[in-house]
Amino acid sequence: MSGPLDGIKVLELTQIIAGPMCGVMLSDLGAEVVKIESPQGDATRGVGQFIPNESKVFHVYNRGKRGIVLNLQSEQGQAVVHRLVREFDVFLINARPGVAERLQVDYQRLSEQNPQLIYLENTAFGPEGPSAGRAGADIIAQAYSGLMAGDEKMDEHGGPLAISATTPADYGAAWTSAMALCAALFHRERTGRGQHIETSLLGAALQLQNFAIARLPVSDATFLQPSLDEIRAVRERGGAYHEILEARTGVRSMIGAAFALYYGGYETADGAIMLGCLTPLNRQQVRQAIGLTEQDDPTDAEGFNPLDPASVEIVERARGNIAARFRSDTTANWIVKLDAKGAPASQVNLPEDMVDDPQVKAIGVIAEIEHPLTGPEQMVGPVFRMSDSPLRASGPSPVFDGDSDDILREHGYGEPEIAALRSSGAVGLQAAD
Amino acid sequence: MPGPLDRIKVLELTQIIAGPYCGVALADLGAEVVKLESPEGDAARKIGQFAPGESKAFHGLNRGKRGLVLNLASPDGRAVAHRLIRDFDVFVTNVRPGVAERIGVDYETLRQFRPDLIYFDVTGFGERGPSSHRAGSDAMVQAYSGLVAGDLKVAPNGAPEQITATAPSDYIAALGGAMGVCAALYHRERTGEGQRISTSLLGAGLALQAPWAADVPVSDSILIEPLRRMMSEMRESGASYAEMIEARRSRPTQGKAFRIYYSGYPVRDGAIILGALTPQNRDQIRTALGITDDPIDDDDFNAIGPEADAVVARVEAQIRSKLASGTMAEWMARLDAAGAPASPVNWLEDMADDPQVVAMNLMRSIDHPLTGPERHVGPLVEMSETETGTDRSAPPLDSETDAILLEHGFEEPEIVRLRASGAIGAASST
Repeated sequence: MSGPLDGIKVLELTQIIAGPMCGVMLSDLGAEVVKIESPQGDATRGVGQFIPNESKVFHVYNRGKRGIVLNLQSEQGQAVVHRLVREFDVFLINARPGVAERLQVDYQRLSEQNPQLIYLENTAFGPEGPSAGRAGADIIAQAYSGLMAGDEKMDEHGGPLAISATTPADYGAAWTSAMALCAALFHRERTGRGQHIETSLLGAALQLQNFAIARLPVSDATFLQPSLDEIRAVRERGGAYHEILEARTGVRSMIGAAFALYYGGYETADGAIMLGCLTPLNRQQVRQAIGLTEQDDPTDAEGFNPLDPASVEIVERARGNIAARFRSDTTANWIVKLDAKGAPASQVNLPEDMVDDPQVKAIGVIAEIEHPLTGPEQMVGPVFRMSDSPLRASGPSPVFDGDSDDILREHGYGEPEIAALRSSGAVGLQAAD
Repeated sequence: MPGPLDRIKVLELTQIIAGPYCGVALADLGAEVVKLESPEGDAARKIGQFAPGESKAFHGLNRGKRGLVLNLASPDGRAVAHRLIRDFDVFVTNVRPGVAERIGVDYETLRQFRPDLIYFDVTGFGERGPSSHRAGSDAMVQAYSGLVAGDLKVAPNGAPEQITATAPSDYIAALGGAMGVCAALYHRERTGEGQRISTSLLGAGLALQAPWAADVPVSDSILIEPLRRMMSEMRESGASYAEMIEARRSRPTQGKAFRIYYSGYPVRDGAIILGALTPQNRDQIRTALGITDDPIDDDDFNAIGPEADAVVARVEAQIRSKLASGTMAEWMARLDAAGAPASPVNWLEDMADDPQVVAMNLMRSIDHPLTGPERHVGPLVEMSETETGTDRSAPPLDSETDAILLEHGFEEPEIVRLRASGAIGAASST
């Protein structure tokens, strides 16, 4: 049994995370993915490099692909793409608007070669608008979209701190792109037509926080307006970032404070624990597990009003009571007690330990891969299972310039032609000639 | 121009975020989505309720759908689901493992009524393993998967704090589900076969930190093993969570020099983020800021050498004091002129009216029948041949149950009887 995209060929001109991760997912779904790299290579080859041109980051975001090194500054290099693309179903690019046109690999040009081509372009801010031409990266999209301020993380100088555990805008864009490409393949299968798909890091970051961005006048009058008024007041008197953040947090935390009591973390005798309660029933399960009465925490009792200023003190007292309980025993003991009640709770793990975690092993999401230069690797493979078209991590990331000649041969290039392209610098890494 | 999933019918039994957002993504791609709700309604209806059963969270995560209130605890309610599913292509659910079987909407049961059904389910921890039975919500999976610790955020009282700006595992599981459904539709188109797609919030959480969760021994022996040793020593010596996070934050890494150009700084009237990924980007920033003596990108600079920390600290202080001397608008003008990646740190409450967001048509206006006009973050992609996005609001509880049943061949007397027996309809209406 093969993956759902069996037989589909993807050509990608991508770098860093958003584009490459999309390619990984298409590869997991069974597509054959060829990555075009410039003679300098993807910039992530140099991020945490452990042997020349090989880094963990590159390995992770480019597993399952073959690589071809092309100089798209040269007309001959561009001609190679124009010839190859006739035999590919999908072209995937993440570059600033205008770059594809400059390198002659925009939708217009490539669809002339292959009218059924599905072309996906991911940019930072989208192709139009006042910020379209600006450089972008995940952290830029985090800042611009409000994600960063919404995360309320600050350094000791009062500066903003990015979400550092992951690159949410990149990932949102990558998964969205893979989704859209699959939808477009389905559309092509029904109609015979290819198309141009556009997505952006900004759009990806916005979708992750629609709840805070959406405007619903009737709801906002109660829940959002006080916060907006507060922020405006601080801004008008020229307040610094941390003051604006505090103003925003102040009003919002009053509304969400009772919810956050059981949807947040606590210290334990030997570490930390996280609660994830969404319903009054969940909160009751936690109270029972840790031995808390309605007197210790009246926030779910009849008559508690989160918008009443007196509620601040009630919530703080409850938080103190909950925190004291959790400090009195170890994480492992609390997990046993909370599990027994069916309450949602988790130990706070380190990402580096996850490869060996029993639950992670049980769900089979870690793929074992052998890299030709650097040996065995374990990494997060497909996190989906499909019963009729199984997914699998098909192999390692491409060695720099390791597959260029093979790929050209497979697409009808003869040896003398390949040699000529190499000596002109259109194919291959710079040091080769 | 219809969407790519035109005429595809999706039935979802979902709640909170992961399942519902998958349904929104499919609706934006043109599918017709019907949401099954229990007589009590989706719990998200009560989170920040501003009219009975209506909340902003529910509206945003269920726009574009029609609603059907069904009591799957009753045999009659189950029979309705089994009759309806024959007319649907896709079923989406995010109930705990075991629940679907108990209420008769598991894959094996439903495919008896619709053999080429595409069935997507997302659970917290997956359906196997020591934690499969455990309740799962995004905060827990953030903690379990390492996202919370990896984010280095600690509350003032020393407790761990999760990522609060979004529910990352929920959203990624939802988008991945939509991707899986689209791939499965393509597969069905080519082979005639339906299938079951499953994922977990845990898997999504791990995918979000793929480089951290990976094990690449040759690389790890230099960069990760010292960290693992340090963390296990601290754990054995009984260090607190806050101490462990502080140790992680301040450990020597190759990334430190990288981080000073990929980080946020206060300016006079707010804050700015620098997002340099390449040496060229860092040069653009140096040009804009007028920094001339930074050796970090020189060939002979050793990022994990003994002098590195002092150099990095000196350059960071320089960047900090430069940026603090100007306003957001002044610095953005200079950074943009140099082509450097940088952004003001915006407030998300302002984003609906932001000129770039407006220019990209990222917000869509919708009218809700009960609570009036709304604007939401709209479809994620624009497609040249197939329109994306929908004008439909989230369904008011139980407003379309009868209409949907009539469309699927149920007769009036049957519907009246189902209502009377409590198999359909909201809890308050019976």
